[in-house]
Amino acid sequence: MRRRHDHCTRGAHLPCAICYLLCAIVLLPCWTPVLAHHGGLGIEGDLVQWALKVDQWQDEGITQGHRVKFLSYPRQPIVGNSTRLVFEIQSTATGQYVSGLTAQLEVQAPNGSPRQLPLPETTGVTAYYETAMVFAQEGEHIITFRALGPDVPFSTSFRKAVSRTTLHGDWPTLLGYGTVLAAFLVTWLGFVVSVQGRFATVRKGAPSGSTETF
Amino acid sequence: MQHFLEYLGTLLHLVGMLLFVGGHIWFGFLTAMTERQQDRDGARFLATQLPLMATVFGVGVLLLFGSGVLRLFVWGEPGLIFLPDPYGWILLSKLVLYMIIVVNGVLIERRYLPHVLQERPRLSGAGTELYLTAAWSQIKVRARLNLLLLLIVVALGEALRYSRL
Repeated sequence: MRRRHDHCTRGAHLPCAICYLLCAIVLLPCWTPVLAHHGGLGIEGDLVQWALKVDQWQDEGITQGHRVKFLSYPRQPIVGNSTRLVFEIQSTATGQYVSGLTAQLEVQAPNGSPRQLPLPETTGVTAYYETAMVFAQEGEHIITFRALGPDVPFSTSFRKAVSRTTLHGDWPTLLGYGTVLAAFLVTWLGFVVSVQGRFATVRKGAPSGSTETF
Repeated sequence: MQHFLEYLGTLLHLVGMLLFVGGHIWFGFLTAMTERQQDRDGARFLATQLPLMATVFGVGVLLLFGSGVLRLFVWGEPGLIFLPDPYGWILLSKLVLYMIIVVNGVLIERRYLPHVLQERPRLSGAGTELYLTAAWSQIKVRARLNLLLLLIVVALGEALRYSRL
């Protein structure tokens, strides 16, 4: 009877804890600020984005009547690895995509040294400007898109943090790794405990298989 | 190779779901039936099969986790679970619920299953009865809780397909 009482007491706390956790999980995305507009083009041939069906514009800026959308792939650039920097230009007045720009990219490293790259329009994709770059320094880079528009030139800047390795990313990256690691540890713990329990049962001579008949 | 691994991961995930989610559904259904119909033979049968079910569920868990991690590695995005995209938050929720499910399963197997195995009747025939002990009740309650969480995880998994936010 005492054991039953103990079980009931513990059982009463568990559903409450589960409810609190579920509420926290539901509210978590609401707390997260929306940092970027999601919409627009995906990267053709990108298996990840194809599988996830998630558009990946990460940031945008509005300047001189133009909406400039920006993404990098991978999202977290790594020092020494090639990173695709992609921009899409749209008119805020008409919503039409703007092609035919002469665009240029200026990347300012954390130590202040600038670097300029041509930013050609991707053939066959309207208003889609892309270049690949290998970052040499760790830290926050300022990426400035400059274009000579049909009427007035315009430019806008974005900030992008570059990591030394994939293990030293921003907090979402670390949270992702931590969660997967915790899930792995829980799985491993469960596996070990289960196997230990079975061996302990066998050593005691108690039946543990499904072949026993009653 | 990437496509094959992704296919393999999906296939193993489905098999794991069949074993783990399907097993929990059947276990919940059968325990409810034995309770409703006061079926002592059925309850005894369930108690007999508990170790086998625990093994099947364990295999299902390993398949689910292994195939899920395999797909994450195949996709190879830094951050692994795609935070802070909506997809990442849904995946994070899945993983948190998964950990609760596994811990709950470990509690069932380590704390309550031995009690039920010790307390189950040794003889068949008239007069034998599976006593509804606290441990047996806890197994049923926790298995139903796991089933509820599993259904939420499955729903979240389906939501991942539509996380174009």
